[in-house]
Amino acid sequence: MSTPKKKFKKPDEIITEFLHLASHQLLTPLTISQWYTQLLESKLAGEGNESYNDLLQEISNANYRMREIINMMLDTSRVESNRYKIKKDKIQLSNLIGSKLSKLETEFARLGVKTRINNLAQADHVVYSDEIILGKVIELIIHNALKYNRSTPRMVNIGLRKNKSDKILISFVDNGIGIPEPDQKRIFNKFFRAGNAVILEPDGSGLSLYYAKQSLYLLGSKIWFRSRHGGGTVFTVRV
Amino acid sequence: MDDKAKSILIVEDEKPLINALAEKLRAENYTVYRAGNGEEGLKEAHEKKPDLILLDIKMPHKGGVEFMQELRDGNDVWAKSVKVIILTNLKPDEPIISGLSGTDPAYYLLKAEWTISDIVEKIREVLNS
Repeated sequence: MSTPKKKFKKPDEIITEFLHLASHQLLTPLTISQWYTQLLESKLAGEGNESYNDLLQEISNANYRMREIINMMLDTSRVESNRYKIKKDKIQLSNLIGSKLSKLETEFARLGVKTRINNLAQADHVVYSDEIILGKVIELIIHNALKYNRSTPRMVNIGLRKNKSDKILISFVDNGIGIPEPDQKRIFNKFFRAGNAVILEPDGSGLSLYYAKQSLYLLGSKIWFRSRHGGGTVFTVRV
Repeated sequence: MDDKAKSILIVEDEKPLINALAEKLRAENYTVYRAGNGEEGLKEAHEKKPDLILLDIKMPHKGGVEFMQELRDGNDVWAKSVKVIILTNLKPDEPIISGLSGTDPAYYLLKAEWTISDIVEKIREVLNS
């Protein structure tokens, strides 16, 4: 009698499960850290303890960074395992891009960033898509354009246009470090980071562009880029 | 009735989280009851009949989904209509959440995305709705 073969999960499935489990496990201690920092902040408010306030602000900033990393892991695992339920609605792209830019305002001011937005007022830039995914991808591309950039000023130009098939294309043009040619083929791979990106910013998950590609694929959308090492990058999303 | 005289039951198994919420809510003059899991939560809920329940989902012994089903299933009129805010780090489309019926409870907050002050603000808004 033959022994039934035991089914092993593929390495990719194990990684996905691990990302999902680990990110969920990390959210509870993160929430504790966030809430207690907020409680301390409100206890110290108005008591003239500026030095403590500065320290607490640093903890808040670290909590925020941790939450972004955990959410990236969680969102990636949810897209990979089909846990994410797509909800398509009518989206006014100018509003969506505007809200994402507002969210990054403080960071823009700190880094002296210049943004230029083209053709956003046109009323026909309405798409039927998933606002959470699309919004997150827009945010990730803008964030990367600024993170991997040391030009003065750092610039991101966002443009909207229609292609021949009447699909809307959103382009993000930056003056950042660009992607070296040998790394371009792997830039959407899970955990991959370009060599010049690792030198400039050693910390990074290598998940954001992977998430962008995978999640847009679920929506029937697409992302691509052209780039020159040291000469900036243009990411384009077809919605 | 002034909402600050109202009572809130927190059903949550993480002690630091329940302590933080209880402290903040008491500072806002709410009466706070607490339970460490769904089983204790049901007992406390029927006994104290709070104005609002803050409910975690993943808890030992009895989770938030079972808590909701048992709370709403009985004949107690209060239990059928008491306002419940789910406070969890599980996204609403996680399989475990599918046990909650469509629009009940109407309020769903992701813990890590909300500041403790904003949660108190939301509680005030829900109590006044």
